Amino acid sequence: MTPDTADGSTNEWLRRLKWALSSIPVQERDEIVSEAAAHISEALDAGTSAKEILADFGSADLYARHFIDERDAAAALGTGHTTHLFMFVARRIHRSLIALFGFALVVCIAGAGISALVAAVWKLFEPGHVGLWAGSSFAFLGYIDDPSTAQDLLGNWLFPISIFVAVCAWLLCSLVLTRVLRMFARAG
Amino acid sequence: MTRKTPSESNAENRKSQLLKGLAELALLSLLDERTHYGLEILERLREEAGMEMAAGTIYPLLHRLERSGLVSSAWTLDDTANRPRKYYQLSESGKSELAEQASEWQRLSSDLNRFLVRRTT
Repeated sequence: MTPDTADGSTNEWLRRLKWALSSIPVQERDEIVSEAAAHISEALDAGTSAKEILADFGSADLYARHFIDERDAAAALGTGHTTHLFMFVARRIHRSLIALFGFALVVCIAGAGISALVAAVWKLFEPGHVGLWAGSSFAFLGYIDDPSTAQDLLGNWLFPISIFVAVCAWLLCSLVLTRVLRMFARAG
Repeated sequence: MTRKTPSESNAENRKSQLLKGLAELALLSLLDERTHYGLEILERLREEAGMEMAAGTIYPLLHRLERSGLVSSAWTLDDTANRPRKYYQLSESGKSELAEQASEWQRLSSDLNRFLVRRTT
């Protein structure tokens, strides 16, 4: 695994790469490190300096991250669970605009779904005060102190509509997260 | 070391984003010719396709394509080398993907080109 004509810097880079890839299976990790070592040896033989070769790879941590992200994305997409997809995106919002945008969109959609469900549950306990209210200059979903000042637009339809909205929000979140993961994986 | 001006950096970023999208197509096309190993792929993409790709980009891309089943790989000790090399080969699904991507690129580039030259004709 050590390049034949390696100097200290390339060996150190490869050691660092191996360490950075410690979260992936040994066989796959060794394959990635061996290929990088083979590339370094070939490039050194061709007269490229170790400094140039390592600059071409970038830092060992960043290089390893490409493989780890790709592997994690494939695993999350493979399970298809919305929670796995969400966790993958949430863990990467600090370093990817795609992940950040996707996360923000999913939070908004999930917020709408959760609000609808909360309103439905709340209406079970406060049927006369919770609903989709429309007054002369306002409209909102939630609790009203004086129901005589507004009209409840949904009444008991709030229950099935809330469930419908929550299911749609869940499916939409799953769709958005899947798209984000595919874009993330393709963007490398 | 010379520092790049902001406009040079912007031009490089634009080029890098464009190349990222096209790298997969160029790579599949290269492997359609014959099997290649990593460094060879990198050099041919740089010299023949004008794609200034980094080693840190090409191997994760190859890894992803292999995982998707579009390419396969094998370590081989050939006559011209004194150490094993990992050769990549285009799979059958890789060939279909190449045909689709190439046709999409032809259509897109032709439409865009027509659009860009509309004011000079």
